[in-house]
Amino acid sequence: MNACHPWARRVGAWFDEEVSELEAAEVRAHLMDCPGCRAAVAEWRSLRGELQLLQPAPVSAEAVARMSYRFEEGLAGEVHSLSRGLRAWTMAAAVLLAFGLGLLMLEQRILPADVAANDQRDIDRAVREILQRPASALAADPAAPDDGTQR
Amino acid sequence: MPRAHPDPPPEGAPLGGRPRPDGRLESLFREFGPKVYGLALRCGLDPSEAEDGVQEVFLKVQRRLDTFRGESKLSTWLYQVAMNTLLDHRRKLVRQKRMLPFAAVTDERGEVAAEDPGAGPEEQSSTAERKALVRRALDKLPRKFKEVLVLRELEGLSYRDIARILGTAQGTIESRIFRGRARLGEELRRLKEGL
Repeated sequence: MNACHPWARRVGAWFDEEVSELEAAEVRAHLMDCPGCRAAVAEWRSLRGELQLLQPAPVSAEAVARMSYRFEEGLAGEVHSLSRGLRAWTMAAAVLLAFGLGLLMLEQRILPADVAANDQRDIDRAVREILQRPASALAADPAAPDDGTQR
Repeated sequence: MPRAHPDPPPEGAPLGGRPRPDGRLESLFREFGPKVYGLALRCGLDPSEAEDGVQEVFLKVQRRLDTFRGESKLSTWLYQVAMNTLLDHRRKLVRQKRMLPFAAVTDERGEVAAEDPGAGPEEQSSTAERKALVRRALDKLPRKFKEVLVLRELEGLSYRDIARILGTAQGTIESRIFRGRARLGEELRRLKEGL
């Protein structure tokens, strides 16, 4: 059964005690004359009764204790997963650091050897140049050793 | 089938170094935990799933507590988080078919709750059937009607509080309650005729 259109929502609000005293008096007066709205109110009342069947029993102390325990467990789980994530990141950072340090050390070991090799090549090249010079140039070279040997 | 949850250790037993919630959260849980559990049952979760729902709600509250700016009452904000979380939780369950959408309301032992424990078996069975029918009709409603009816008829909240919780105008709530009742009545009639 439908409440009459112009009054429907006001009657609904009156049913939920959401109107002022003045409006409530108006709705009550309307209900006296309107069988449609009276039927609607009766149906809402019956629905309210049916819905009350869904009201749960009061929560037991055991259920509250169990929920409280599970809530703390859930928090612990969150902290645990956070610390697991943190541990994974720390591990990754440590591996990267170790890798970087390893590269640095490797570079430092190679570099002096390289430099040494370059030095040796420079000396060799200088020696080859000296050996390729003509003898006259060697005689004119005041830095040439005076031991009578031919190069 | 309700899942078995571990029983809490006896009172005073050490918690194995598990972190305890901070004082604010602990008092929130103490004050609102049972209310949220009741709301979960009223939203149609069975007792075991309601406990899961409560946990989900408070873990969400814990993560978001710092974002609460005090523009509304803490209880309104909590109801907001709870309502959204619980209805989503239930929708997920129904989707996963872990729970029948038309499940009868069960008590803490997972048994069909009787309105009057002193009633005979026939009366208890009839009450359980009526409950199942109402739950089924409520489940058939669109979410916008279901949530206002749960908050108004089962939680007993005012239009103003419901409007704040759902972030909607009070006039919209009034209209939704009115239309929701009409739809619920139709669904119930249809279900009763189908029996």
